[in-house]
Amino acid sequence: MQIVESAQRLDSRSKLFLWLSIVTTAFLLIGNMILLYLCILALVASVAGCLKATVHFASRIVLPTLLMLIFIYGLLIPPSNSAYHVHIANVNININGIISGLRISARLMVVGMSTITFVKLTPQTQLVAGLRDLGLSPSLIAVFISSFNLYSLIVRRMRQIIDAQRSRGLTGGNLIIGRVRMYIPILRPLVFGMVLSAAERSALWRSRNYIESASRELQRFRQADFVVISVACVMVLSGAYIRWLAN
Amino acid sequence: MRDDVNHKVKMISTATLTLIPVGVAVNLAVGTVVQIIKLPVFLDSIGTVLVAVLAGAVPGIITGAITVFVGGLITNPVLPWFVLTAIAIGWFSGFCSSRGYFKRLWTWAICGILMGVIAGIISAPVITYLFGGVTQSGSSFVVAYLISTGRTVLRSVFLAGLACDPVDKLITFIIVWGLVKGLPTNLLANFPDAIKNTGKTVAR
Repeated sequence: MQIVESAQRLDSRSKLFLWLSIVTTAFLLIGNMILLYLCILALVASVAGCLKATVHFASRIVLPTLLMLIFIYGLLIPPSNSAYHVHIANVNININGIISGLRISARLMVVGMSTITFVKLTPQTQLVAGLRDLGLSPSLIAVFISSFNLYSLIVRRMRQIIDAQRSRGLTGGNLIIGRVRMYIPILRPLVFGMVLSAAERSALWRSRNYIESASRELQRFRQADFVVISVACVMVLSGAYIRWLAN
Repeated sequence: MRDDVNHKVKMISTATLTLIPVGVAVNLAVGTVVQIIKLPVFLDSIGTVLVAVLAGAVPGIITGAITVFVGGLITNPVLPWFVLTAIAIGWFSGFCSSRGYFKRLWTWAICGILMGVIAGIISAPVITYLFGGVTQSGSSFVVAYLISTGRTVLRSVFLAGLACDPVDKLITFIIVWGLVKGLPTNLLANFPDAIKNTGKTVAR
């Protein structure tokens, strides 16, 4: 927990830079290095308390992608010059294709886990302060942060409507037409409600004389922030070296 | 560059500033629901097109860009790589709206199909070089079939995109047509260009 608290005290600009560096390095690294990278990030995610969110992400996004990649690269379109095959029940499975699919999924997992860790360790107020220190205008920051809040609101309303319909036995059946007939009509009142609430919010902002604030000073980095930025730079440079110079 | 972006944001009205997050939320929420009910389309640009039609190309572009970054943080981390596609959708919708192409249903449909073609062309290099031609959608099997017929990965992704994206964007544009048609005119008064571009009449 001390590590988590220390991470939360970091400047959000340094955390944003670290997140971008992890994502960039994930796409620079090739071969089995990406699997090693994945193991390190799994350890970080479990320490940061993001294990549950990580498993949820893996089961919803990465696992279906991995299965599709293995099926397509292992069976349908194996990489060229591949030599290792396994013959199981009259099916020729290409091992290089499976490894290629594993690497792409590992890259996706690294990107997802770094994102989850960044979001979990960054409170909204800190993100706002960090974006202001980056020089973005308060209007743009307000739009960005409002998007998070409105998304959770609209998803909650949608789930309420869908649960109410299911409790009345309106499942839509297995046909696409049935599902479309059931769910598309809820779109119109939902979107109208959101657009009308936008008009009300606009009037509220105008009544509060919403203006941008005066110029502000940039917050100084602490020692821990410099350490994080240095680690991020080393990560990207080593990834670039492995990608272009070592091979 | 940052001052130009901030200046353009300052020029946007308060009504538009409050509409943009609505567009972002609609994009993400409808995309999530479509995944839940397993429709063979995406429908994740409804909010972008709606904002672009009501408020113009720049707000549409901002909506699309924020959608992919927010979506990358909270729903799917591969979304930010498609930021150029999102920007193109916002710009094209705003462009068609400003030219008055959104006054009849059949022009909405043609613009939707054209948008799908443009989106397929822009997305193809990203899918090919970053994801090896394979995504979570069913079009990956179309890509695999086309590759097995001897085509390159890029060409296969491009052809599969041309098959799937126009249908998705056509449905998106028709849905937005229905939404704009049903919006009350007193609400549209906050967006003067929207009344002119969509051919709605204000009751006197």
